[in-house]
Amino acid sequence: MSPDEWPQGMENEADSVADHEWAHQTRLYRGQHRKVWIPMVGIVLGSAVFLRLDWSPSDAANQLGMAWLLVCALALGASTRSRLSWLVAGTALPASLVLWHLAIIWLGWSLPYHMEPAGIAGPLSLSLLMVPGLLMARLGSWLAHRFRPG
Amino acid sequence: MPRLPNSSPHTRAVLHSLLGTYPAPTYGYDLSKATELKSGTLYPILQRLHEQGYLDAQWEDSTHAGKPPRHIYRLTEAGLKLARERKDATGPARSLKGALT
Repeated sequence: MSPDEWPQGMENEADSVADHEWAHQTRLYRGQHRKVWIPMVGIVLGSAVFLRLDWSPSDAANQLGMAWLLVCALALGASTRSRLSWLVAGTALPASLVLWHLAIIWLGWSLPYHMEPAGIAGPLSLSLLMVPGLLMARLGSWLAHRFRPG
Repeated sequence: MPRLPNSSPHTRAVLHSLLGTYPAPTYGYDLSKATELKSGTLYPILQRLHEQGYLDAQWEDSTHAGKPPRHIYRLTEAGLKLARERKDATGPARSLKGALT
């Protein structure tokens, strides 16, 4: 039996029993039983756009990148179900930026703008973006749990 | 001392229930009622045991018209051995009231 069949098995079991309370509880859990690749795709696409926006010297792109980070962290946080996965949602995009800047230094490339502070400290200072990322992801997670139907 | 894998009280209860009905297969609902575990606790255990090769999970066509096929669960040979080991090591867990109700 493949992993994809388990949610259907739960759904069918809920449909097969006369115990309505158990069926309801099982459907709730089955609804939470999501495929892990959906948030993973969100993180990859969100990071790709975030890094593209970062690769620009303009202030508008910089501000747009910050707004993108906040929106993505909120959305990813809202899509999480397990207790601590909002931590991943909040740190994923900033971490991708830090790693990307470290890779640029390691590869000897140059950014299209002047980075302060220079050297390794520059990328490491970008990890501060995890603070707003985590706040938005936690907010998204809280909102989703607060207003999720059922 | 490190804890044995698949030796939590919940997993032991599931193994014990499956052992009690072996070789007859069991539905998830019956396991849930027998072990008093909620779906959110039971199904992850079943999935893990299945992935580890201890549990056989199959589809069974419903005998009731209009009802969808259901999953039935049965211990594999390795699962049978594991269930007996866990039972011997830690004593009996909750028993299963009945299979395929």
